[in-house]
Amino acid sequence: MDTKSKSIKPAVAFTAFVLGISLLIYTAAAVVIIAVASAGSAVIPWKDVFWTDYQTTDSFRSYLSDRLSVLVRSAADPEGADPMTPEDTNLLYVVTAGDAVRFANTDELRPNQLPEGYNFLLTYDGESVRVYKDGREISDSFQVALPAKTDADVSVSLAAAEHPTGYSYDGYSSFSYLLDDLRQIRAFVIWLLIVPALAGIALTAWSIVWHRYKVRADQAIAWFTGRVWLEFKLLLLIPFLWMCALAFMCCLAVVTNQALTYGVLRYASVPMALWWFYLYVNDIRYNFGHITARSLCAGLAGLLRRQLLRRPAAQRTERRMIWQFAACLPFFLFCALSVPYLLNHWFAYGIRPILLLLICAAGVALIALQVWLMKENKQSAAELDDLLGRIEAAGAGRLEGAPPLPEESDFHDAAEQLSHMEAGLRTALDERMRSERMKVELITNVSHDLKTPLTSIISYAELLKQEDDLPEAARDYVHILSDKAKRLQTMVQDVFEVSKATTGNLRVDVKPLDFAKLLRQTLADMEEAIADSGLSLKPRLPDAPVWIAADGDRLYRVFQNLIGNALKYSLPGSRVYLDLTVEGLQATAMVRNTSREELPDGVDLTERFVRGDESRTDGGSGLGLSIARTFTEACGGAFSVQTQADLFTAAVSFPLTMERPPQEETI
Amino acid sequence: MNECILVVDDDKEIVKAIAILLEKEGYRVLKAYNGMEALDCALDPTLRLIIIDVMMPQLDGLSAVMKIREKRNLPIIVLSAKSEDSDKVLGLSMGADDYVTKPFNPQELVARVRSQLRRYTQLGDVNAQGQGGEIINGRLCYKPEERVLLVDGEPVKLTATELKIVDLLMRNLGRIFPAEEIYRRVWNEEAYATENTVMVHIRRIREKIELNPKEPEYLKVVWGIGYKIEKH
Repeated sequence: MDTKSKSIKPAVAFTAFVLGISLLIYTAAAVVIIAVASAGSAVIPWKDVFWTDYQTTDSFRSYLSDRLSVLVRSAADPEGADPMTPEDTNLLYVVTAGDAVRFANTDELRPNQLPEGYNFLLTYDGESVRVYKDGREISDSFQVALPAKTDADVSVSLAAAEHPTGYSYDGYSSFSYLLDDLRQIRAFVIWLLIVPALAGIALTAWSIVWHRYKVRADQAIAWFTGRVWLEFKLLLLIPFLWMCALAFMCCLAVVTNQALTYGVLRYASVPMALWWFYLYVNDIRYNFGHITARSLCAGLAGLLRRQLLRRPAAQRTERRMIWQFAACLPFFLFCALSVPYLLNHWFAYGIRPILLLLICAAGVALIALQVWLMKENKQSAAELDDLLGRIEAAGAGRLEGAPPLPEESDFHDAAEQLSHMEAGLRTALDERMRSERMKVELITNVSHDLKTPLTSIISYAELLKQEDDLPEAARDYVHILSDKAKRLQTMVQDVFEVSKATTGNLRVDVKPLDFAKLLRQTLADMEEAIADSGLSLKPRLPDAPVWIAADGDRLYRVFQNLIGNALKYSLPGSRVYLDLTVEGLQATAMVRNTSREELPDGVDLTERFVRGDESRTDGGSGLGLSIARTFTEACGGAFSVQTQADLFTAAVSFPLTMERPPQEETI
Repeated sequence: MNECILVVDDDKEIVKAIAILLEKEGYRVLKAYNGMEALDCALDPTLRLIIIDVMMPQLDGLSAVMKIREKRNLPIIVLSAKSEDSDKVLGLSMGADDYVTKPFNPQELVARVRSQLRRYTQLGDVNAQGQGGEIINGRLCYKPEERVLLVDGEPVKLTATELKIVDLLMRNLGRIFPAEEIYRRVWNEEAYATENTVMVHIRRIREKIELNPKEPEYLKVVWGIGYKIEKH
């Protein structure tokens, strides 16, 4: 689980997700509340929200309707006072009743001769309303409620300012208030509904785009919640359910149009319940398989088990018996406590005392049984302990044997079997060691028996060589004898070493060394042989040290053999490549050459005594590659040979080491 | 110089061959064919050196060496078919001065005999003059002030470069020098790809100081690290 991710992206994606969804829920709730609340009356005149000209709004129209009917009613009443505020020049009016001007704050108002700054005129002639805007009649599109009919011949003219200005002390009569209201509604709708809705959509979209980061955040949260004890989570279900109930009440209040009777805090329960629920779901989704792994009960059980495992098996069994006894204890206690009651009611009639007596007797019997079982089990446990000890000792190679267990013991048969196994193991081990020893002795003896006559052959060949009066032919023969004897000597030594290596008796002194340097030294050492061969050897070795752990002397022999082979068996005039490459934590040296002879197919050239040409007339002992392989493997490296047509490749690879030779040795 | 040498081996032909080789070199040879006979012969006061095989009937070579050592202080070369390092260490720790594995190169054996005898007879008093800052290491003795290397008490002709290398390695016995380091110290210049140059000189020095240059005992290559003169 990626909890240590320092990346900020998961956090951002998750925050966007939570905020976005929360905002969407909020807007949805707000829309529902407003819709329910304004089901009867328009709390918010939606069309007016995006006005550009206040004269086109419903609010303006209803205001004018209202003024018109008030003016008509006041003018019809001879005693009626002017209901308007004459100082408010945002609305000019001329009201006549019959021929007399009843109320006015201006002179005559005519459609095409409105004063400067006024572009709206409404006239009422007692029959109909006519509306002019910017000098054109718009009565068809601007509907105003007609005032109630009156007897008096009332006519009204109202002119509205294009841009209402100023402030009137009478709040109700000013257009500026109307404008303020409109602005407030607009601000309310934009900032409390549209902006949150858009932000919610944007954030949610963002979190969807960054879904994989959000998943990582989910996982991180799940990892965290996964560490919380299950019991604690279950306990938290109670406040969660309470929160859910609260949220449900809130939803109910919203649909039943009682939303506004609740405080804001109570509404916080809705998102809280939601996100709480989300946490639970998230936890279950990612931790489903091991939801019980982290719990107080499991923790305690685990602790107890670990405590127990630290003790020997016998003690473990004992502990378990004690717990068993402790578990029965309440029942025993009940039995003991019922004794006084029994004594009191001994002579009373009824079945209860008898029942109690029976229970009591059962309790005593149970205690006795428990004690007896404990004694038996303890004995068994001790024997089990012995048995386990013997198995462990046998595993560690100590085959000491033990006195047999008594016939009636639980583990009598098992102990017998174990004794058999121990005996078998001992025999096998002895045999193995004897055969190992014999193998080594055989190799040593054979080697000795071969070397002794060889010593004589070499010595006498040397003596013969020193004879002066030998015929020329005899001198030749002696040289041949001497050469072959020397080859025999090398072969005997090679066989000896390969046999030791294959029986695992080759001593290797593994130390850190520079692979590249070893190869350079080997090439320098074999310089003459390389020059004499007429082949060109192309080393490609890194300048930087390549540290591996191996036995330098053995590894030198490996490459001496490989390069020697290459020199011996290559096509005359061809090139031999020696490469050292480092790949990952592996250094691989490769010797590649083109064979002079056709290479046989399907022959493992590293098998002992196998050579490229089957006739065995050339100089090799047939052990070169075998030595290379066994020495490489004895040093902990890997050896492989590949033939591809006439191309022969031998690869020796070793893991790199962090060790370095001690400083004082190399200065 | 009619020095007397005892050759012990249960293989009579080998004894005979060694005897002929040594007699050609002008030595007098006593022959024995098992450990008990060797003990008898070892009492000869004219005896100067013993060559003895390890695996023999009646009394094996190493036990014989220990018994002889109790009475006589003379060089002993052990012959053995066992070529393991551990066998060599065992032989040398039992009191042998040299350990030669079978089958041996007859010339090498003779060279070893000569080396042992020279050291024993001529350098018997080397310890007395062992001051003057000279470095003694087995068969090698280096006199830094005179810049002379003695092998078995005889000066060896070395070129100037060889002498510098010997000087460096003898002064730091047992220390491993990478080729670059030797090059820098001897040629006094930084160089690239020095392995061949150094190796050529090492090989030449070996031919002058080692009894068997193919199996050097002193000037050794530490594969993958560098070169050193081993402490003896």
